[in-house]
Amino acid sequence: MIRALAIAAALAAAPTEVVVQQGESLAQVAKRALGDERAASELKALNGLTTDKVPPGTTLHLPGPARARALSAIAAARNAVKQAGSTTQQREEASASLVKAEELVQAAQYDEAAAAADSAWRLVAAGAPENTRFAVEVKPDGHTQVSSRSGQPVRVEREGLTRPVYPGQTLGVSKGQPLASPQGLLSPPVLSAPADLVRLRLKATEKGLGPVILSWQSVPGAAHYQVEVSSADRSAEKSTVLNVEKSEARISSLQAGRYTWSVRALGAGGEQSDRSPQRTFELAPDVLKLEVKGTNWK
Amino acid sequence: MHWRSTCAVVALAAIPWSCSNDDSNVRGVPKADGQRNAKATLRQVAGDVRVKRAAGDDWIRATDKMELLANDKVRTLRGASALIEFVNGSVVAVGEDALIGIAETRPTPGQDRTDLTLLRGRLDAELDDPGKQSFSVNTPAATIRAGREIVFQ
Repeated sequence: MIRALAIAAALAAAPTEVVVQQGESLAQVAKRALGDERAASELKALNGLTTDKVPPGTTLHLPGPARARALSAIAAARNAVKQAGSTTQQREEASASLVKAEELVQAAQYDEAAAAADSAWRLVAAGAPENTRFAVEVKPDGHTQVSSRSGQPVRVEREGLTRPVYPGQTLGVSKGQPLASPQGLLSPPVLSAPADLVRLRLKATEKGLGPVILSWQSVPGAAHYQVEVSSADRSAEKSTVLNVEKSEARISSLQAGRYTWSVRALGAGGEQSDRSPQRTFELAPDVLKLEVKGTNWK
Repeated sequence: MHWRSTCAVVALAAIPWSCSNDDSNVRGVPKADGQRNAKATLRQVAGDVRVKRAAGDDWIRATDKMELLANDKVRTLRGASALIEFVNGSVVAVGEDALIGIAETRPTPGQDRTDLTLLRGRLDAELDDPGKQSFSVNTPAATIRAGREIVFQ
């Protein structure tokens, strides 16, 4: 209840206006309020300004949530156009609609921009022959992660609000929190070392053999990684799960035997990639090499 | 063997319909009622997958080709998985440690609709004809809809 009130208060406190400060240009205001100095034209259109010079102390209206929806639809449409190939006339029509959508954003006509972007997306993606595929994952606390893979967008609804999630996007929803905008889907990590089915000879430690170092390629947008290592010989044994920030995990020691491992990329907002394909390695003790020289002793 | 013990207990508890209904499904010969109301069929059952009938209290071990009715629940334990093939052709792959419910849906003219409740775990869904099919997943935090009636709002 307290959390819900806090969220409601935060929503109520979301800025709808911004005051121009001394010496600040319209581009700087746009950068400060909207995170993008190119949005100066939007502020200009939204507030009916005829010049970029605005006196300090002037209060400017800021765009509402329609802007985020329009930008999300444009991003998805741009992605769909990029993936559509260059053979069809539909692609050219979609590109034209996309340009129009971007112009409408500049003019602060966000609903129209979203509609234009959606029509661009429909031209190149909705008619695609591929099936609609998506994944839904619910965590023990009820947090829901929706990932759209292909075909038509899926629609995520919560308390009367709706967000389209286009292929290549993911959206996390938690109970009592407002619907955010979809993010780009994280790709599963590509494992580097050790190679699949390799036998590692490691020194014996007090608790086993080690250290075991696992590495993979960094995933753009990943905040950290979840590494899962399981015994292939002792299936009843609990898996080891590590959370690391770098694209490498170090396990101080493991018992001799065969192990499978895989890695999942995690985003800052809770979104996560699919698991990487599993690899297997075998651990064996590093045998000391004894060289016995011949002797003349009899 | 475990299932037969459960069946006996249910029979002794004087709920013969529940027992015979499960019996027909396990044998792959659903009763007329079950056949008429079947929403989906379990496929590729791997590991420990359990089904709880809407009319029953026990979690029974799932088998391949077992039919699922409205309000049935499916649970996968660690390392288990299964495919749920709905009568409208949409397919859902259920991963390990998942708990889902087959929702009761009201038929809509001209629309093949499927509804699921996902309480825990992960599912991967695929619609081969999203122009005609409609699919929704209810979770504790949101409702996810795919297929027909998907329009930008």
